[in-house]
Formats: sequence, structure tokens, C-alpha cells
Amino acid sequence: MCLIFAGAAAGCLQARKLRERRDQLRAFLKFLSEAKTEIAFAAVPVDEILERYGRCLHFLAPYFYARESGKEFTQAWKAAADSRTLSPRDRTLLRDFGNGFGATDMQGQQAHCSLYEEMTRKELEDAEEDYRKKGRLYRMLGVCAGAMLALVLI
Amino acid sequence: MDQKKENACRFNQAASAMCPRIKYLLLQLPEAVRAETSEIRLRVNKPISLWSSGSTWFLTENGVTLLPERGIRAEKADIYESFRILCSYSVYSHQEQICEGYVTLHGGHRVGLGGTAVMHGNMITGMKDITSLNIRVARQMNGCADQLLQMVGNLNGGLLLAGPPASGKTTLLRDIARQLSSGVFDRINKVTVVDERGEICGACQGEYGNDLGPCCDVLDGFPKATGMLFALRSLSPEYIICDELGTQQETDALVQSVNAGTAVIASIHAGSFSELTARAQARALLQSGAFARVALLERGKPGRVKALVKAGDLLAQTGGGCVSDFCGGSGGLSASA
Repeated sequence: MCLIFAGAAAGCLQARKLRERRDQLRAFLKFLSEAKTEIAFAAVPVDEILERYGRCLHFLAPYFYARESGKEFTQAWKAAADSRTLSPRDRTLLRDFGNGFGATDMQGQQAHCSLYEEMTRKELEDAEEDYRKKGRLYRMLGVCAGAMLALVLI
Repeated sequence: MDQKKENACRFNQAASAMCPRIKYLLLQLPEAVRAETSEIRLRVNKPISLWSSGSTWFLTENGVTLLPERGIRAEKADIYESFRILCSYSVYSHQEQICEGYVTLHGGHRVGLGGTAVMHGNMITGMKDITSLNIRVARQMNGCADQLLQMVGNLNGGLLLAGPPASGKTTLLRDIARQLSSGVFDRINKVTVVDERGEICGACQGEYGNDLGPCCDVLDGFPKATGMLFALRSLSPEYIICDELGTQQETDALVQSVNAGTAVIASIHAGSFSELTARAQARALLQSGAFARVALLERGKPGRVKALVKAGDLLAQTGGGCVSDFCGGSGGLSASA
């Protein structure tokens, strides 16, 4: 029974990773929309936008940690974008967004945020599809693998 | 804190807006160098230079040198990164200043920009490919206006400070504001500073980087013409102080201030009286009656007055067409108030 539970737990863990990715992409999409609004209507600086809307994004934790320890924005953003907890595609997305975030005039920033909104939306669709298909599969596989192992050992 | 330490601190504040590589080298400089430096200049692929008391020095790994070939060169990436840092990584929030060719830092340090203009029709809408940065270290030199204030005696009639770039006009205005509003000079006066570029007060997120005394209101970021009228309507100042006058709108606003019983103390770019009176806009300022006296400043140490004349005398002589008599020198017209 323990082995079956262990297998089920491992499957759930994998499925949870997929769900977390989906949720974080949703949150990032919301962040981009908020950033775009703040830039367009009040020209709020990047630091303030991140402080107001970025705290709920778990993958930005290394960014805030680096900023609090005195690192410049570029270095801090790199710390977040290089995090091993992100998939390679998400790392690239985050790194490229950071390179252009705040680097141009108002119009440029609007275009930049819109572009990354579009790209994030695509990633989100993939993540939702992954979670729908693979989430259940991982859970089933976990239970089955646990049961198989238990049978072999018996 | 003595003046030297204070100046070195201000240098550190300005140098902190540079990219980490250059910032590290600048902060390692001896205190004497940091205290004396008034400009830090970065140009793409050129040695980083420091302008100090009339001479140019070049930054090296171990300090400074007079030989440009030994100086550390600023890479394009250094300038790009520094530009982003001094804009707080938010270029868009400094767009209007960038279109005017500068960015003001916390503490009132002004960074002049060199690069390629982005045009939309006949309007400059931005700047790209930044190739040079000129960081002018803003200093608060308490007492630098002593000589001038003693010479003028009474500021009720208004005062126009004329001087070439880097003659300390803004530093002097800052000290005049402080002395007037704190009662160091005469009694305590109500002063309003219209600080279009944020250099006089060095405001950042609602806090002043410079001491302008206890009775000074600041209109930060207001265009001068609008700010002067705004001040008259709502702040009832005895003195209005502003930097670098020049446009027709500003002259019109000035006339209204004069007729409302407020004295104006302002600055204008001019290397000599002849240069000043050769400009139609400057003549209009003098004719407005807003300035009883005009002080010509010398390049170098802030507060060094080359000559002080009555605006009326200056206009009368100009009318005679003999403006060349006003050039330079402290003879003739100096301290004729």
C-alpha cells in the first residue's frame, strides 16, 4: 500500500508542477497587462511596477532578493531568469522580456509588453494543454508504477 | 560635515548612477579628487574624463591621469547600462527630459545626453543610440552667495544672473534661495523656486535633495512660465527663483510677476554683457523691468562675480550700440550697484 501511495504522490507532484507553471504564466500575463496600464497612464517606473504587481510571481523571488541585497536591475533580473525551477522556454521568455523592460520610450514599452503578452498567451495555451493531458496521465502513471512495483516485490 | 566631505558625498551620489564597472572605479578615487570634480564625461570608445577646477583628468584603474591614452575607455555597453540606471531602468518615465537632452538625478545632478535624435515631423520625440553622457555634479555650497548678496544689498528689484555654462549659476541660485528663506540674509522671506529641471532642489519622490531653507516652496517640474503664474496665484511668494530664462512665454509670465509685487531672481546663459544684450530675448527680459540689476559670473568657482550693473544702464548703453564695452573685465561697470 505504501508503494502505491508513494507512486501516486510522485505522479501528483509532477502534475502539480504543470499546474504551477500554468498558474504562474496566468499571473505573469496579468502582470504584463498591469505593467502596460501603469506605463501608459502614469509612467510608473519599473521598480515600482514590480514592487506593486510582481510580488505574487514566485519565479521573481530571486529578483527581489537580489535587489534587496543591492544588485542593479539587470543583475537581479538575470538571477530570476536563470532560475533552474523554470523550463528553458520560460527562462528565455523571462530573460528577453527583462532585457527590453523599461529600456525604451512609452510607445516602445507598449509594443514590448503587447509582444510579450502575446508570447505568454501562447505559452499559457500550451501549459493548459499540457496540464489537461499530462496532469491526469502523471497521476495515473504514479499509481500504476507504485502498484507494479508492489506486485514485483510481492 | 565640512565642504570637502560634502562635495565628495555628492560626487558619490552622482557616480552611483553609473554602471557597476565605472561606478566602482569612481568611488575608489581619493576624496580630494572626488570633492573637486564637477563633471564626469563618458563617450563611446573614448577615455572617461573628469572635469575638475578647469582641467580635464582621465580615469585609470588606479586613479586619474592627465594622459588620455592611459585612460579607461567607456564601452558602448557601459554607456547603455549607465543610461538605463540613471533612468531608474524606466526610460519612458524620463521621456520629456530625454527629448530636451538631459536627465536629472536625485540630488539635482544633471546628466546631459549625446546621441541620435528620433524625429516625428519636426519634433524630437526621443533619443536613441546614446553615445555620450555628461554628469554634472550638483553641489550645495552654503555661503557661495555671500559676496553677491553683499554687493547687491537689496533684492527687491529683482536680479538676473548671467554667466557661461559651468559658472555656478544654479549653485548660486540654490544658496540665494536658502539664505532668503532662512533669514541668513536680511529677514525670513517667503520664497518659491520654480524648478523646471529639478536641479535647484534636487527633488526625488517628494523629498528635496538640497536644503532651500524653512520657508521655501518648490514647484518641481513645472514649466517656468506656468510655474511663475501658479506661484503668484497660490503661494504668495515675496521672491520667485528660477533657472535659465529665455522664451517669450517666460518673459510674459515675468512681466505679470513684476506687476504683482514679487521680485524675481533668475539666471540666463551669457559669457559677457555684450553676448547678453545681443540676444533679443535677453533684451526683452531686461526691458520687462523685472530685474533692477544684472550680475555677470565668472567660470570656475560658484559665486565669483565679474561685474554687477543696473539693468537700466545696460539697456541704455546697448541703445547707444556700444555693447563691446561691456565685455569681460571687472573694470568700468563692476559692482556699480
